[in-house]
Amino acid sequence: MKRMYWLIVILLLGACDVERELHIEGYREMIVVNSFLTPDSLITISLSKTIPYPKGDNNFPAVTDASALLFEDGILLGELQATEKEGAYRLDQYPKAGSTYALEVNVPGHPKITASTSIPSYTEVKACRQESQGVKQWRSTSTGVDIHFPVLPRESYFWLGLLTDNYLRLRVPYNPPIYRYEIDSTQVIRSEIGHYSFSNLLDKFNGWDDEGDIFFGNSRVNRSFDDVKDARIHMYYYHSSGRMVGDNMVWLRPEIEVYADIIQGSEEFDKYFKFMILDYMTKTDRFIDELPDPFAEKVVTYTNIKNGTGIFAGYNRQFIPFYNNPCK
Amino acid sequence: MRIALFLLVLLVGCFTANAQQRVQLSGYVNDAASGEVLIGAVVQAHGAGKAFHAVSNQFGFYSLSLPEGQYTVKASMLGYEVYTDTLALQSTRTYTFRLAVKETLLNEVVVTAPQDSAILISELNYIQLSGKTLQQVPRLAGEADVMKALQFLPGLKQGQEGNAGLHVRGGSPDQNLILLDGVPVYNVYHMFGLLSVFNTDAINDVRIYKGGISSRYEGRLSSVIDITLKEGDAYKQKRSFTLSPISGSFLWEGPVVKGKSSFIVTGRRTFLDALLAAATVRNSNKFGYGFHDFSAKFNHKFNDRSRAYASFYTSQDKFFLSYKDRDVTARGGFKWGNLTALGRHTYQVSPKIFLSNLAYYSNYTFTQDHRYTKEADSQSHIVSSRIEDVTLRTMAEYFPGNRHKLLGGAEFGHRNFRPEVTRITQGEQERYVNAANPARTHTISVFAEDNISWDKLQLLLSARQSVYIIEGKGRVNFQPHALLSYKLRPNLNLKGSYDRMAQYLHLLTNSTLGQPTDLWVPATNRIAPQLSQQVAAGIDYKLLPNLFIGIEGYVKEMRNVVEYKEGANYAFGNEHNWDEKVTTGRGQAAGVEVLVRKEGRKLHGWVAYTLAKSTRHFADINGGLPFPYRYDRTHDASVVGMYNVNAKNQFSATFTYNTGNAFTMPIAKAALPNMPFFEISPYKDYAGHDVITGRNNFRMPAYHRMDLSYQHTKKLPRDRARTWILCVYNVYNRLNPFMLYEVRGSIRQVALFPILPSVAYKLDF
Repeated sequence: MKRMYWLIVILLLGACDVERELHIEGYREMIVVNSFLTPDSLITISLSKTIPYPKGDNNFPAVTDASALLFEDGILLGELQATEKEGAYRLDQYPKAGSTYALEVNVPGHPKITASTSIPSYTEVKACRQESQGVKQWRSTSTGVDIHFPVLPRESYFWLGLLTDNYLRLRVPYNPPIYRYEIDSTQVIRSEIGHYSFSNLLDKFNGWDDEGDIFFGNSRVNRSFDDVKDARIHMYYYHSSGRMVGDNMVWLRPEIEVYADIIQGSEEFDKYFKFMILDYMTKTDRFIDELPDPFAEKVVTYTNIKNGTGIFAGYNRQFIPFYNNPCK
Repeated sequence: MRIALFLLVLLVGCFTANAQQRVQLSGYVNDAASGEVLIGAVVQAHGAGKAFHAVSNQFGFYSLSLPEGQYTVKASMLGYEVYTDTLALQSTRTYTFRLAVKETLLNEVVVTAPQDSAILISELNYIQLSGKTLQQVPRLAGEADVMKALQFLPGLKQGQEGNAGLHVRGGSPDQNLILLDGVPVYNVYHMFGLLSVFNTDAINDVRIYKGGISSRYEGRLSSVIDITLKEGDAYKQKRSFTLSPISGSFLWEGPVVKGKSSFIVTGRRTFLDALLAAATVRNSNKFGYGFHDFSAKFNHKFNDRSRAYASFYTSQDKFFLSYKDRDVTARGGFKWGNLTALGRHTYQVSPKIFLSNLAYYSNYTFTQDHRYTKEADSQSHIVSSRIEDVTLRTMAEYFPGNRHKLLGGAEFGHRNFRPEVTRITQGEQERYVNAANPARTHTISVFAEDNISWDKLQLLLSARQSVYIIEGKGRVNFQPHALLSYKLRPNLNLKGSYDRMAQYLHLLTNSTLGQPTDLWVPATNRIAPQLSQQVAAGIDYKLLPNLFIGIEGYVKEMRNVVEYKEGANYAFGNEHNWDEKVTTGRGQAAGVEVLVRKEGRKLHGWVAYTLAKSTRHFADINGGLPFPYRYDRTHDASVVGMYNVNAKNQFSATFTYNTGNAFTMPIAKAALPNMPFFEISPYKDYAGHDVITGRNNFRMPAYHRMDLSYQHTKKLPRDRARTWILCVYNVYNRLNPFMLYEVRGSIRQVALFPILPSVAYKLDF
């Protein structure tokens, strides 16, 4: 009997966690339309096809036989032409702030794909740097900056960040799939920097930090609000060299120019960015490729593409320098 | 005001009905051998060409109003011999029925109340499981389990393989009020949900209410599971010892003063921890798991009218992992446990009035602990959550006549919540998150109900008015209930019910693993109380003398149900307040439940089937579109059969089938655009992203399983008995999915239990 008992115990403990492969059926190929319209750039769209999940190597087949029409405020603006880059289509015109755009794409073998968006009109923004030194924290000094909106329009979707010019970080294989970042001191790029503020007005904005989190109060909620007159945001940014490798604040010195990066997006733009950031938060580690975090709720993909997926969204963007613009 | 009007209507009805002068027959129904009170026993009196009926309440008390005369009185309960006597009633008197246990296991199956008795309508709306039934249902790893047995009933669904969590009529597990002797138990799981914390040896009675719920129960949206423990044998000492592959348990009961007071003590402890410790003694990586539970109950009868009860219950689980490699030491784990204590006094004020007062304390604590040390560098991250509940309740039952049975009472509850109090240390630095004052809530409730009987028509009107106070603000909720039953034919009963419920606490639960990380939190001014309305209608039909069929349809709407937001992380990110990670929305459920049960001398059991749909709708999940609830099961069927070969040998078999759980999974991968504002984000390195078309857009494969059980009992000298219990869980080795995950380009499915034989041994002495 004793022998039988132990046999049962072993069976019990060994029986757990039986794994096997599961075959998911029902994959349907979709056309991916990716396009952001902004008055600063020519109108371009990128067309590709999805690949099945999970067996994919990120080689997305480009769509080269599509026809794409763009309408501006309901009037045909023109047909986008294929460029030398596979899957890329361009119309040699600049979109306009304050206009609405509709896209029609036909790909043989697929239903007609449509999408629409708008580009918000520019909102007046002023920015300046406080002369006095900011607060000290984490052994760093900070600089105070003011951003001023004479009128903040309602039904706007703002994203706000602070940028500086920094050395490029290179993603270097460490022990794949783990990577690390190293500084390339030969190339300078514009980089997001850390900042914070106690301004209540920030609740009406979006931002994100380099940990992939959305911050600024209730910023995951809709951005719509009433017109605000004479709106001011007071922010700080730090001069630091003590943070981890891969952080954008490395080598930031007080005299380097800093810009307010203000994006005023369409509703589609706003929803897509939120989706992207939330989706990013569900990955276990930003240094490991796209491993899902089992403790995070999955994020449903946002798309405004009918009969396909991807994004077609308009925005405008302003860079307002601080350093050479001291507050009066 | 509404409740006052409600009471007025009830009282007027009662006094009108009570115009005729009568005598009162009242008392208790007990088990003849042990003195244990019998709950739900039917007491009948026949005389002067009329028949009168009553049902014993949860303290075994009954009361009948009769015209003077000669009566044949009868008390019956399943599993007991019918007790009959003749009484000449000239004046009000007390009479105690002592029922003897049937020698053979007759009719010991799930029952609704007997169809051929014109009993109180409040007794028609529950499903009952006796302790003996629980012992007979096939077991996982030899452990009899009340929560698992319930999963074979219609409308009650298990969450995942091996998980004891119940989803009743499309609701979530927190929407079930699970009471142990009237005290809510907040976490009812051992072993991460594989077993429930209740020791079935000590259970006297289990009742499940899914609709037409009495207002005496505090608000939960989906069900009430009322578990009553035995009181202990008042005449004779009894002991039993049970050994299963994973634990040992004991029960000891007996009189303190014969016939007056008794006690019962039970305990259970796993020995998995010892086995795991032995297995990892030479490893630098160790893990361990252990659990125990203990209950004690004492009751004392001061006289025939006054009794007092005291009980205590505790359970504890502990799981840890540790790792050591030269100068690095890491250790982490979970610890969770319940503690409840109650005192109760019942007093028969008069033959028509029965009073019970209750005070209880219930506590659930969960701790998650991670520590890391490398040379002089040490870090720790300790998260603890706690809910404490102190409640006082007084309740009176009034039996003005046989057409009415009134019940009324008041309740005051105080709860302390300390969710996710986090202590983070790094070297000598430490900081706390969420360590501010606990959330304190107060609930004040009054409730009343009337059971009304008019020959073929019976009506239960019930209401609860509660005031919930948190953060200095109060919320008032009126919760009416109604249950209507009409006996169309002697063997056909029509019934319908309406319930409006309010629930002042939420359970934040993750969608993957169960269960100790689940977090109890209060309704706040930001996260409103859950509310529901349910309408149900059905029939009970007696096809044959021993074959019954019940069909019931329901529609339920829930408001302010809680889900984690998309992207929220429930294991980490405790720096955020819990209410920043969740959102509230609506839920809808509808279904049809069928229960066919057979009673018989040899073969008994039931077949249950549910056709159902359950959805959720949140403004900021799934793009604001409705989506299937995780445990939305279109089809859910169970077959339970028990066969008594003779008094020594019993076989039982179960089969269960249900539609697979809904879950969220990408359907494809898509190329990323060049993202403005993200040029410098880590995302720039990703070439593509997963395409998820909707929350819970996929279904796991269907779940089905068959279990078998054989019990052999042998009587031994000196009034002892031993029982061998052999079980085979998942007889045909179906690999039912527990969870799915992606690894290296393929979807892997994890199944918890393939075929799993077990043996348990029980000794009664």
